[in-house]
Amino acid sequence: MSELVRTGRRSFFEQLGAAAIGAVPAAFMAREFERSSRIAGLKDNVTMLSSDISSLQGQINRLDYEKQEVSQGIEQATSQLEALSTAAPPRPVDSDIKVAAYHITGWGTGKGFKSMDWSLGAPYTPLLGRYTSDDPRVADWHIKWALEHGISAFLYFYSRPDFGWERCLEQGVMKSRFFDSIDFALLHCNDNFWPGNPFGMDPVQMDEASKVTLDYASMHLFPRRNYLSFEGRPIVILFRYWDFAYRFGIEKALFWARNVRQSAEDRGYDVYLMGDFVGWTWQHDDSANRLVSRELDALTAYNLGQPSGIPSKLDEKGNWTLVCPYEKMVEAYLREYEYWSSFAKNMGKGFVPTVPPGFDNSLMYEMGVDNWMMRLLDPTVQRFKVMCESAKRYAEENLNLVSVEAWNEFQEGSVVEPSMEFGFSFLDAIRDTYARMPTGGWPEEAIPGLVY
Amino acid sequence: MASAAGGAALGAVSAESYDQLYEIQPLNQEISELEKQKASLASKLTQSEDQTQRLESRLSELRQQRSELLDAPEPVPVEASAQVAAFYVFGWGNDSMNRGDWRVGTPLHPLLGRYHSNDPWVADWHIKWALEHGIGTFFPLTFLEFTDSGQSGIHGFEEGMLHSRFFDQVKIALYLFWEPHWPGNPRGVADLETFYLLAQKTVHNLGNRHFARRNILKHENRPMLFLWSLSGFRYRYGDDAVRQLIDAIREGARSSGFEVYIIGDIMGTWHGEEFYEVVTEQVDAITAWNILDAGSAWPSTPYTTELVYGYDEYVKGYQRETRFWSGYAKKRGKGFVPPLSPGFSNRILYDKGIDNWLVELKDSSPEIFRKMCGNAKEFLDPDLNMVLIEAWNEIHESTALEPTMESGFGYLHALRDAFAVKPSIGWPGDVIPGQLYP
Repeated sequence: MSELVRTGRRSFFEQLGAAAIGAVPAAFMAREFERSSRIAGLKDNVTMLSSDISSLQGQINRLDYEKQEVSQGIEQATSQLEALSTAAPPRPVDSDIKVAAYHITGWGTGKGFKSMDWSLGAPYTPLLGRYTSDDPRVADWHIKWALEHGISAFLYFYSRPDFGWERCLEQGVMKSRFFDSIDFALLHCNDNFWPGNPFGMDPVQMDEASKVTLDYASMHLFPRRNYLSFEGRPIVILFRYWDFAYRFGIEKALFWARNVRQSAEDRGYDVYLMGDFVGWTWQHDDSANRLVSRELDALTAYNLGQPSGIPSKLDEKGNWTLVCPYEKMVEAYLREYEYWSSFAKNMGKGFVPTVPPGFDNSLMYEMGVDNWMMRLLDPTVQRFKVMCESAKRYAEENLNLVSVEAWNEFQEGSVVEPSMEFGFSFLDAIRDTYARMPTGGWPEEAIPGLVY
Repeated sequence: MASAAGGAALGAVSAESYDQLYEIQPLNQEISELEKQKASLASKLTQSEDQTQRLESRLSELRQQRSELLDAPEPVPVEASAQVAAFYVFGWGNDSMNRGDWRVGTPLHPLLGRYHSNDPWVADWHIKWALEHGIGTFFPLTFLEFTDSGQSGIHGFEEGMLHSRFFDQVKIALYLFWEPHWPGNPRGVADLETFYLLAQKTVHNLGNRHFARRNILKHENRPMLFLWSLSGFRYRYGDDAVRQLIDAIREGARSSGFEVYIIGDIMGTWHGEEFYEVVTEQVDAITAWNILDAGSAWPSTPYTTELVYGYDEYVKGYQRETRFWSGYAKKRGKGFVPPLSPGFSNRILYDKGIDNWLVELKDSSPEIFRKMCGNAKEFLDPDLNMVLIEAWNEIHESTALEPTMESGFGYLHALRDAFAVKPSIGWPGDVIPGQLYP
């Protein structure tokens, strides 16, 4: 009854009136009871269902809350993870002399080749771990660290646009969030004398490689605002230029330079050609040097082969090997710069001294990757700093440029990039020599994974 | 319709009408709707459960990634030809605007960043790096107790390192530091009697808490205990005070059930043997925390508190001092532990007025430290076969083995190359938290 009252409806008995009850037949009564109990059952059912629904709703609400919390946790964890590996925007420091570092972009991209395959071993290990060069995050960190230590340009090896390292340059380095903040130029290497080079020694292929490279660079790289130029002319460095002349003849070398220059000119660019020229003590022959350097605007060195005065030796395998203290090599570099900077000046050409933090390819030699070996002993940061400081006086005043060989030649033990072995010490030496300390002090050094 | 019905009309009422009249049909409808609702909610719940499960598994995946990125992998310890031990300083990350507070500024910057010493995660990495470079023992710095609250200045050890996943793998020996004659000591001790009592109580409490640990470093079954600046204490308070202090310390250890093996910070550049007689008698072995004037005498100008010279001279001076003191210890039947030191400069603390003295060793480098390590080998005590390095992480004083931004693992490599035995598969690769390519 109370249920009926609650629902605001009148019962059948009420509608009949109390007087009529006595007249209701037993069958009717029985049916009526059956219906009543059916209704009660149905109502119980309704109650149960309502309670189930309410319980389900409760569970769903709880899960919604839980989901919200977990989602927040995911969001937090994702952003934390991202923050742990993401480089903060660089805080570049100014420098009195422009410093450019040679940069390898082939890491992690090929099996069995030097400067590509970490599994061959390396005397030093990057703080980033054994990275692949086509990862823009790696380039983010490299660019940040370089700019914060006074290095404002990277010089990238470039053979031809469809080769492996060049793909990494485009897919990794150039996709860095900070790529536009650093200048860059090409170190053009037509690969003619590299063991395992895919183009062989065919001079036609070499010429083709240079033409294709300069066509591509003129269309896609020189127009970029951050392409390194001098007096409005994009700088291109020709790798091992003197060696090229030695191997293939002076005329062929001069053709190489003219070919490069012409290919760019055809696309509207007057390139500033710098030759990797300075290499060996026996090259101090002014007349030969005048001839070989004729097509070049400036002279420089990727590194020097044997300037220490300590002769290379033929070992039992018949290969040339040289072991000498880094300290001696530093002295020798400076002696060479004395000659070459003065030669360049007399020729009205620019000169760019190079500072190497060390050299040791003994591991590559042992692995049979290189058929020559040079090992500089005890390459300390203090001695490197002496070299950086001394190199200042050889930087030609108009170009005002010093190069570092190299940012990341890990398998040749020539590295300024932060490493497990040396931390930031080589970069600090570069910064302390060439950069100007901002009023707030040097930017604090950061690496991925800093929880504190 | 129902209101017009009378008793005579009953026979004419159809079953359907009753159902309507008795609300069976609406109830059935209601039930049917509720059942639909229930089914829909049940399916929503299942969906929700699936979603939650997926989210939870994503979260756990991310946590796993974070852990893989940041947590120290299991150490790969290397064996060493000698017991290599390093002093370890706690208190980093405090807000005292004094030592241990990063805001003061530091000449070195750990690869772990400006960490907190009480974090076991930090100790995980430190222990891993130590073991993988031949360091088998840490000497955590412990202060005397200056209050009755049971605090012994060892919170960093007890809250942090003790809870490291790798704690059991490294040996521990305690290093007792006191400050009664430290200029500007904020917790000065009024008199020597109180000082002895504090020393006794501290060692008793430390003994109770730690000497029974399996990884406590022992010699002749006695826990090792390093006592800082014993010759300084002798200089200030005399022989009798030294006797009483060391008696109190031994008594403190004994009351916790242990006889201790005391290594005293005794070595100095002044070699007046009479001065050292009693203090040497009281200890079991001799070493130094550091010998800052080893390579150059303090300027003779009165009141000069600045000593600046080259780290290479310091290294040569250490060799001279080590030669003298190892002979001295041998003559007196005492153990000897050659000290090693990767550098020193308290320039920042001095410039900020926190220290009123300055020692700055110029151009310290892993290469010169490598020479120092090589020099020490000649003076290893055959019985103890141990070297002690100041320090793992005296970052403010520019004396740190731990990997830093400035030198990477350079000092650890120099140490490892001198004392550790290279495994046939080569040294364990160096890893740091957060490496993009582990």
